[in-house]
Amino acid sequence: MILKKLLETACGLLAGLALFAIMVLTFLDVSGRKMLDHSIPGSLELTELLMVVVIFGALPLVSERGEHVVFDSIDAILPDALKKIQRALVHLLCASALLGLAWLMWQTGGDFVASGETTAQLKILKAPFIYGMGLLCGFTGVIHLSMMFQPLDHEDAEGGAL
Amino acid sequence: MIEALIGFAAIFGLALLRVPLAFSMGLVGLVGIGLTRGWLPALASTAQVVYETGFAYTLSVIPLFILMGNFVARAGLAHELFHAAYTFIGHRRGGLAHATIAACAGFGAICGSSIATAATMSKVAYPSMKKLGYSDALSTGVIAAGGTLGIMIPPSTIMVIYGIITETHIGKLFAAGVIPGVLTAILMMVAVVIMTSRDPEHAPAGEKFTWAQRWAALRGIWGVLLLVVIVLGGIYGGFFTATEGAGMGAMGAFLFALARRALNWKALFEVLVESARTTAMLFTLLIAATIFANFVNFTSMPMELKEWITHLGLSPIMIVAAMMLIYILLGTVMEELTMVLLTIPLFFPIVVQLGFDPVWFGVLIVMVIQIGLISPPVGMNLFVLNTLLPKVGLTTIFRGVWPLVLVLVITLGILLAFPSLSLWLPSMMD
Repeated sequence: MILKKLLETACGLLAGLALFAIMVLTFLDVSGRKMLDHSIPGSLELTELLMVVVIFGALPLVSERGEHVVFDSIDAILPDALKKIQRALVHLLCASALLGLAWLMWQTGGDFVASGETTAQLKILKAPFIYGMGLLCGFTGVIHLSMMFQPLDHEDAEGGAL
Repeated sequence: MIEALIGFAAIFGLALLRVPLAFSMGLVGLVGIGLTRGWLPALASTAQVVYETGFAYTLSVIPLFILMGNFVARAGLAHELFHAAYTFIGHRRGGLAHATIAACAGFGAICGSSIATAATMSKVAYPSMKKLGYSDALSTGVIAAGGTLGIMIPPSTIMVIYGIITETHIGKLFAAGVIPGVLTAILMMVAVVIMTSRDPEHAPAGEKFTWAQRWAALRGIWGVLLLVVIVLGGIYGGFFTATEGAGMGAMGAFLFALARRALNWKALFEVLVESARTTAMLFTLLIAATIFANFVNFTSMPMELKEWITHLGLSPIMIVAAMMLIYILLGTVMEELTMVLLTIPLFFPIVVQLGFDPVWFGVLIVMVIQIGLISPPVGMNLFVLNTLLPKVGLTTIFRGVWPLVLVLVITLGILLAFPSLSLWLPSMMD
């Protein structure tokens, strides 16, 4: 319970603050450019880096709350015992995919360290962000593993993109 | 061809087993590329898609519009909109239902989400209708259907996503949605007139207001108008790009919510995290859909499908009409966003090759999504209302909404037959 609270606060703060920063940055950059003829140097690439933080910072929360889009049409006809096995397998599959992706992004991060690639204007190293993507994917994978054996009534998925 | 078909079948199979769609699409795409092109290219291209989708400035338009919608919903601007509409048309029979549709249209102009529009309106309009004795079927049907105006009237999250995956101008898509959105609202009101004439006691007239009261109510919606002028006016007038407009809109909506004391630290945190979560969920789908689309494009399916369709000898408009029919049928049982992400790599090249305007096709796609969102048995807007108004059963909502599903299908037919309804406004932007 405490772990869950900690996760929600940490990831929430990370992703939420990054999103707030993108909003303020875009606002200041645009109004500065249109009204004072002064844009914020490197605001585009800062937005790009912050986008990574928003997406991958919030990913553990999406998984933890079961907000990924799923078909649940056959849920009504499945007996509970079968449902439990099915949920465990699905979480195992998601976890494997995310841990695999984490490994892949970690490798990619290594490539970025080797090439020393930075953003064009502010010369910020990209590698730490790629490593961060990898870490947060891995973390999300672990969350799926931890959800393999949770009781069924825990689910209250509802996406809100449309 | 056969590889791609197996891929589609695998996605549906996995999805039926309740594997989240993003994971189904991504895994099938990865394995598909791995088996046809080799595993090293598959891993490399996957890493590249993840990296490029993450680090993309233009994609920040998605979270910014989501954030704007969530701030607007929190700020309580919907109350003023509904009240203003009510003072003008509330005294007619079914007046509250008409006011709900008008308020949904107005709310759609500052919010790009159908679900958020329906959810917000259910809190504002449903209690008023209940108090006057409106039937639950009529009130929930109107709110569910009116809510779908949120994605046709700009800004619109789904138009942004369509614009990104097909590389279509988002500003033009927004402009294209205005007339179809208003037309849909008008036709819905006509349907309400017909429905209430058959069952007048369940849609009594409200009180009548003086013109002084009406003007006072109109002054209450200046905040909404200001946001519309800045964001949509700015994008349409070429003053902002869509991304810039979204940033200005989100900031504007934030300031409104702040000024109206609708935000404390907790509420602000909730809005930010909720928007970030929706963003992450969408980007997972977007990344997975791109990986899958890469696989499909490696196969011969898009080409062969194109040839097969040209050999059918159907007229181009018939082909698009057939696609729309497929969408309507799929939309009754499928989640609409997935439906579009899965089919666009196949349908879009055909539509472009037939010589149709991608902007027009985008409007049609939004329309079929609107239909899918309220067509039973699986319609997201219906489920949202069912969750927010647990005392109203799903069957009651189904009963109220089906005439309006019909209205949307008719509107789709009109938009199909008269492309200029969608294309006239964007053509002025060149």
